[in-house]
Amino acid sequence: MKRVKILNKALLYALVVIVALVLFLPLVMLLSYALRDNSEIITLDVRLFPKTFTTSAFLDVFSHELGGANFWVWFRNSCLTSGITALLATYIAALGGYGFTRYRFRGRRLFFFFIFFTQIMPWMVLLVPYYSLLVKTKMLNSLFSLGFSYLIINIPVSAWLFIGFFKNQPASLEEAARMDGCTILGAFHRIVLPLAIPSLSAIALFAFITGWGDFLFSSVIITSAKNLTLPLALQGFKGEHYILWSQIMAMASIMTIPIVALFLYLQKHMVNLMAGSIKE
Amino acid sequence: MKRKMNDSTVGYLFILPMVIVMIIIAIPLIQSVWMSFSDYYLLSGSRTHAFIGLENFRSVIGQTHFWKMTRVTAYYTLYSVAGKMVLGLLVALLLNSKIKGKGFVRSLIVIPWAMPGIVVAMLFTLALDPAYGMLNYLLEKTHLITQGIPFLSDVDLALPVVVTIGIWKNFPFTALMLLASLQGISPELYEAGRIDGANTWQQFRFITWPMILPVWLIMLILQIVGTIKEFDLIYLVTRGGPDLATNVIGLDIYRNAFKFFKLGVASAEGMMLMVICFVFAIVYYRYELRNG
Repeated sequence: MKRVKILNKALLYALVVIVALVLFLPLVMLLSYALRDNSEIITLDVRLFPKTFTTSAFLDVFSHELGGANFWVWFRNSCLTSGITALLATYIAALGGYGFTRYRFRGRRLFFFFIFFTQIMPWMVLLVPYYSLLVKTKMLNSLFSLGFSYLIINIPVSAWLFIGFFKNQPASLEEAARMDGCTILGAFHRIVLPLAIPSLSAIALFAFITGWGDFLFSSVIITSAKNLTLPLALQGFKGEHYILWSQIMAMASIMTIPIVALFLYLQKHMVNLMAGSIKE
Repeated sequence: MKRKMNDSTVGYLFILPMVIVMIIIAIPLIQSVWMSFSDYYLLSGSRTHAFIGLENFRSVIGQTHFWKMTRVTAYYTLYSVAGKMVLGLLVALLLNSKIKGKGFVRSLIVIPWAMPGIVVAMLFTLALDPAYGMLNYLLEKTHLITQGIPFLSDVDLALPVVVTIGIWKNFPFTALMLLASLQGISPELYEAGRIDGANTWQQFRFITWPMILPVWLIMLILQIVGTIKEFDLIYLVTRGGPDLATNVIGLDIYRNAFKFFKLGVASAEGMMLMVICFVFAIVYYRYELRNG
């Protein structure tokens, strides 16, 4: 009986280790590819860890130029399109989510259904007419057009998460603030939002990564080197007859590591939010 | 001026910015419906976009690869969703058991979720390379194979491989939600179960499973609608190839719209996809209403 128990325990730990490896190994591989020379990747002498560590690929990423633009231009483009729109989307969605949960009004159900529906909808369906509009108005290849699309697709998702969040939040503090003569909007900005900061940041992060990792919208809307975002620029290391793998992996690491760190930091709030949004 | 606004006015003011956004979404959506019934070809000189009835839908179905695309989409969705739901459940159960270090592994779950799709695609493309990839190297070293397998250019292998990559990227969502729901089960229930002499399997079958089933079903629907429209991971790994073996509907729409500029046909395909998503959405909505 006791032996069976120990065996069970051992099996359990073995499984946990396997799961950990499956989750973690790709990240290790990413960094390990980024920290070796390209010639060491295109060789039959395959290794998990590089023979000689080198940061030259990272240096290449920073010095790489394409059509007069470089990493910092693309980095700025990505930050602008994903960052500003994430903040705006979070704010607009917070207003909407708050209004929906705290007030009763006609058309409330319709409002809710629309939020719900837009999350189910394939974005491709919006992108096709949006693309034809951009072609007609000569607004293709603009960071504004790209950012605008992120704003639009982020707002319903963020609002959905906010509704789940505010539902589980008591209204007593805002009511107390209102008693003290705070305006409704004042209470919202001074009480509701500050109290929601952890969840607010998690929602903003969700919105941010939509643009940060996006390929669908950017590959359709952006057509020139100076307007590329990081996911598109990543492909610049691929030529007709060559692929600079370590440079790709170095740039991919730069794109990935901060996001993974933020996810780990905000994990608890993200999970609570998602869990709150799927069971009303 | 101290006019008191009534509640519904305040509510409207709060949602006003979002309503504007919704109108902005609704316009292209309606336009998309219209486009699917019109002769919308971006490269044609004419700007008439005449109404052509169901012609676009007819050409979608008439595409020589239509049935193949349907099969590939069904295969992809079925196996991918099954993988995400089963793996998600197993991992959630594993990390809910009483073992050391589970907190650490739990935090690792967000890694696939946090990695941008294009990064995942690049990484797997390299790792699965027949000559330089780590996976083939590992298989050769352990004498499981003698020659590198071209995972992504083999007609029979490419689809299962992209299914696996998709599962890896998206099972964490299921796992985390189920884990959250597992942690909500009161330990007293298990206590009572043990007193009644329930073994591990019976505890799972009669306590755990019924308690997490609602969340599992919601995740199932969310994963179905999420998976059926998946695009970037597959596109970036295989571009739909080899020989359209991984050409799911999302890729087909993309190609029709942005490679061939047949926006009408692409919209028609988009409508088909949307109707399918919508059916599942209604099921979910009904289910939520019944529970909430």
